[in-house]
This record gives sequence, structure tokens and C-alpha cells, in this order.
Amino acid sequence: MKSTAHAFKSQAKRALKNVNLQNALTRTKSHFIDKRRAAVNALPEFDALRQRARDIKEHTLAHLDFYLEQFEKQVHASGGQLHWADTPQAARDQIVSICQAAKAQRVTKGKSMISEEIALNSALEQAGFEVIETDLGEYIIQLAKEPPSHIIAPAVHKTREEVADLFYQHHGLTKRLSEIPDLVNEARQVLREKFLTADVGITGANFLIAETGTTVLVTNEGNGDLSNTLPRVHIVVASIEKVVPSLEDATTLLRLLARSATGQEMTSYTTFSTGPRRPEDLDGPEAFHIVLVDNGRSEMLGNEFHDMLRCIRCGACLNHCPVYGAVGGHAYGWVYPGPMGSVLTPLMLGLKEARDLPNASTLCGRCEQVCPMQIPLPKLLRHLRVKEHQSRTSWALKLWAFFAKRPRLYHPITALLGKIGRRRGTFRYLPFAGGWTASRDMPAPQGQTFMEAWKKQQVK
Amino acid sequence: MRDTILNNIRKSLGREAVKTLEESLAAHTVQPAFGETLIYKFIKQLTKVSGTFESILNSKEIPFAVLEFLQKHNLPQEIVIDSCLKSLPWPNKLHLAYRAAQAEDMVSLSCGFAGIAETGSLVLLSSPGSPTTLNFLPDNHIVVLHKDNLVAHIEDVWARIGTMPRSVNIITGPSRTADIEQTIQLGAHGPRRLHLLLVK
Repeated sequence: MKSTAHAFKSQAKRALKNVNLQNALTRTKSHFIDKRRAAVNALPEFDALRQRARDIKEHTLAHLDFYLEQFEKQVHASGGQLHWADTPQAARDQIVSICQAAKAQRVTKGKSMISEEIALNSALEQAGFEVIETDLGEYIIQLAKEPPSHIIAPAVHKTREEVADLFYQHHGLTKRLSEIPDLVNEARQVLREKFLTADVGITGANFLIAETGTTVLVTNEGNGDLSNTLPRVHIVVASIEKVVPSLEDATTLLRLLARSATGQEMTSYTTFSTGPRRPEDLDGPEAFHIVLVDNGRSEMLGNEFHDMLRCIRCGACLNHCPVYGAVGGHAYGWVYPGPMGSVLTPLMLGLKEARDLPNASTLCGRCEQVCPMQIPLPKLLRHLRVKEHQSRTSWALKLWAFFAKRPRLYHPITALLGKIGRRRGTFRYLPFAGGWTASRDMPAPQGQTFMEAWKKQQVK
Repeated sequence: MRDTILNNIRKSLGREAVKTLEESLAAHTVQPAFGETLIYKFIKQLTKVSGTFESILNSKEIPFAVLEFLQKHNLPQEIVIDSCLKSLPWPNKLHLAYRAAQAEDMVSLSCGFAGIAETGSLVLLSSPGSPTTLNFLPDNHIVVLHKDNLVAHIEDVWARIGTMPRSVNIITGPSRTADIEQTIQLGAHGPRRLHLLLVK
């Protein structure tokens, strides 16, 4: 998808005035936060699991090349095909050519954030394929032609009435249904037909297991499983940091994932796929492809943003962020919103495009507190702020620095400002500081400067 | 492309390729402890995620339990079935199909490889006799599990599996979604009902 991250400020302003969105955000916040809290409180081992999960990820990242090669070997051994893609373009090209080689027409997809990151749907559509998102939330926003607003609940900003309108408009049924069970049922029937006639199924992966060449997919709806069982070809798109050494390691991470995301102990379906259909099997895909995407991750290894590679995309940081809670996901302007998005978007699209995102945080620290992988998100946001600041120091600050480094000039000027301030009390407008004075007055310096007072003190 | 990515990784890690690991991750698992018996915990967890169950004394009772389920939910006398249950004394009136599931199938019956007490999950392995579609296409999924195959934790399943089958499905309750107004609704795309026959 095309980024509008550069327009964060105006998008955030619009979001604050959007009544439907504000209602949806209020509902969501308590839902996710309460459920997560209950799940975590019910598990005394939660913190020990977090520590172990961090160790697993750090160990894997320190040997990432080794585990990726082991994974590749095992995928080949089980009859699967592995493709490497260093850029989004390379990944799109590979997936399009797999679909072309399969002479596919219809492609069903499970929810996958990496496929959003590489803008897969538009590439497939341009190549002439019919692409259908099958996760209910993703399906709703596909009909609405909108990007996801939450990484695990993509249509969280939509009301039931909006969904009812979309379905009525697109499904061509005679009756407009608006009760939630009816809407879910309607989508089930419409999408069932798509699953049964799809040629290719594309899913993401929550984990890749090096020792067995297995991909792990977690869903609640079962749409991922219909996508990876019914079509002739199954393509898994996953980023390189999803790999873990063993089934036991994936198990540890699974214990944290659902609890942190939806407050479930385990999602309805946790599926471990290893290779294509076996000789005597009656179902399953005839071909099993995995496309491994780098897109800048190999460069994050070992640099100051390394910690971000531990992220398992649970969405807890979004759910607990006061800024996300106020403006929702679309304001962030790209695939990943909230604190994790404010770190990833500038790293993937550049600070020039996303310079406001690291500042869209109060640094309150709740994201770090709830992160199951102990990612120091506020620290990473501060790193980005420093980078952004270095890239453009304002004229006013440069001017101030000029004087501040020259005490003989600085002292008389601040003394003068103090005298003016005594008369005026506050400044309603200050040159170069319009951002401050637009919504509040700047208190004027009052009375003596510190240096004047200090000198007097010394004389006594 | 492959080498570019692997070389970038090595450059970032500041080292050359390695043939073997210089340090492996010490084996250590953190498992949720529970005081209840396996069966008690398992049933508690299964019902918490809207799974239903019935205890039966031996395998011979499976056909009766299945018929009862069909009757209770007003379902046709047709099931698509795992071939592991072929030898049971099935009544003639029940139509059995040993194949992959199809669009019109309403009920499937399969054999669970394990039940996980920790989470109330059923583990199903794909095989020629147990096609994966049985677990996902029909509206009603009935699973037979022998009490001996109850395990405490997810890791116990890995210890029991030799080579990985094509698909290992850990199923924890029926299909669900909360994608419209955060309201949980069962039967999104997969089975609306998950019913366990626990054989003692």
C-alpha cells in the first residue's frame, strides 16, 4: 500500500473528529486490555516465559544465517520450495510468477501483515489474478478498499452498520442484514465458494521452525486452514526473523502470543505445515512454496534497532498506547500502526516519509511494559527522534545555540528578555515557536536571570 | 538473492558463515503448572473454549454416541470419516464416506492424536486416512480421543510425534471471529461445533 505516513498530523486531527472511529476505539481499548490482563494474571509463569522467549529470539538472531540455512534444507527435504526476496519488489515478482506458472485465476489469502508490507494484493491484481482476503476483518476492509487499522483486528474501526452496507452493496443479495451473526454467516457463505474454487492459497506465518522446515500459522476463523488445504498451490510469505530453532521454542512463543494479542490462552487453530501433499494423501496442496522476505531486516541485526526484530506482531503495544487509542491505526498512514509501527515505518520507508511517527508517542512506557518480547519501544522511538533531529536542526535552535555558546552576548540578551517579560507576563506569539504558541501562551522570563542572582549570592 | 541476504546477515553480525553452532540454546522450557488431574483440566479448558464432550466407556459405543449427536442437532445420517474408525460396528442406516471432505458434508468424524490438558486442545495429524479437510470444511466436527492420549503440555505432543506429518492441527474450540464490533461469533469459516468423544 502507498504510505501516507507523512500526513500523520492532519490524519490524526481528522481521526479525533470521526465519531464512529472514536466509538470503535473506546470499545476496543477495554476489550483488548481487560482480556489480556485476565490472561496474564491467570498465568504465574508469564514473566518467566517472557524471559525465555527473549533468550530464544536473541539466540536465533545471533545465528540467523545458520537457522535460515537449516530451515531451507528441511523445507527442501520435505518437498517444499524456498524463495529468497531481499526487497518487496523481488517478493512480489516471485509470488506473481509462482501464480502464473500454476496457471491460477483465483487466489485466496489468509491475513498476513508481511503481504501488506510488500503490497502484494495490488501486484497480483495488476497481473490479472482475482485476490480474495478471507479473514473476516481483512475481507471487510478489502471491500471498503481501506488498509488495516490494527494488526490483529484489521476492521476494528468499522461499525456493524458500515459492514452491513458494504455486504449489501457487494454481495448482491436481496436483503440487507445487520445483525452480527447474520453478517458473519453471510461472509461465510460467500467466501466458502471462493475457497472451494481457488487455485492458490497465500498465508503468512507466525513462526518458521528450522529443525523441521515447518511453518506455523495461528488463526481463530479457520480461513488460513481452508486457504492452505483446498487450493492446488500454497504460498507462505514470511519475513526472515520469524525463524526459531525448534518446535519447543515455537511453543514457548505461542504461550505468549495469543495471551498478549486477544487474551486467549490458545487461538482456535494453530497449524504446523510441513511440505506439500504426501503421496497417499487425499487433500492438501500439490505444491508448497515459502517466500522469505528481508526488506531491511538483515541491516537491523546488531544495530540500535536490533531489539525490534524480536517482535511477534501481537498488537499489545497498540492496544495499550494512548496515542493509538486516540487516533486509531489509519492516522499512522501505513501497514504497522502504534508504537511498533512508529519504529518500523521510519526504518522501512525512511525518516523523511515518517518523521512524525517517532514523535507520536508520550513515551509513557506502557508499550514496553506489556510487550511479551521485552522490546524497549520508548528507547527505539527516542533513537529515531535523535536521528530525525540530527537530520534537521531548526533555525531557531541554531540561533539560540549561537548565543548560548557566547556568554557575553547571551547574558545581556536574557536580562533584557527578563525585563520585557516583567511587563508582558506571557508571549502570545513567538517567532519560530508557532507550534507552542498556537494552543498555549509561552510564559515570559520573570525577574532576574539565574546568573544575575548567582552573582548577587556570591557577593554576599 | 539468497547469498545477498545471508551475506548481509553475516555482515551485520560481524562474522563469517558457520557450519555448526558455537553455542546452542540451553534446553529449558517454562510450562504452566496446574494442580488438577489431566482429565479435569482438559475438560475444563475444552468447555471454556465452547467445545462439547461426552465420555464413553469403550470404542464400541462410538457409533451410538455419533447417532445421538446427529439426532440431537437434527443432522442428516451421513458423515465423512477417518479410516481409523473403519472396524467399528456401524449401523447400516448411517452413511459413511471415507474420503476428503466436500462442500456439502455436514458432519465429520476423526481420530485425535492427543489432547492437551494445558489448553483443552485436540491434536490432529494429517495422513491418507485422516485428510485435513475433515477438520475444517463440515459445520460439525466430532473427534474421538482415547484417554491414554491425554498429555499435560504442548511439548508432550512433540515428544510423541516421530517425523512431522504434512499438517499438525492443534484445534482449540470451534471456529470463531470477533472481527465485527469485537463480538465473538462462533463458526466463522471452520466448524460451528467441536464435539469430543472421550473414550475411557
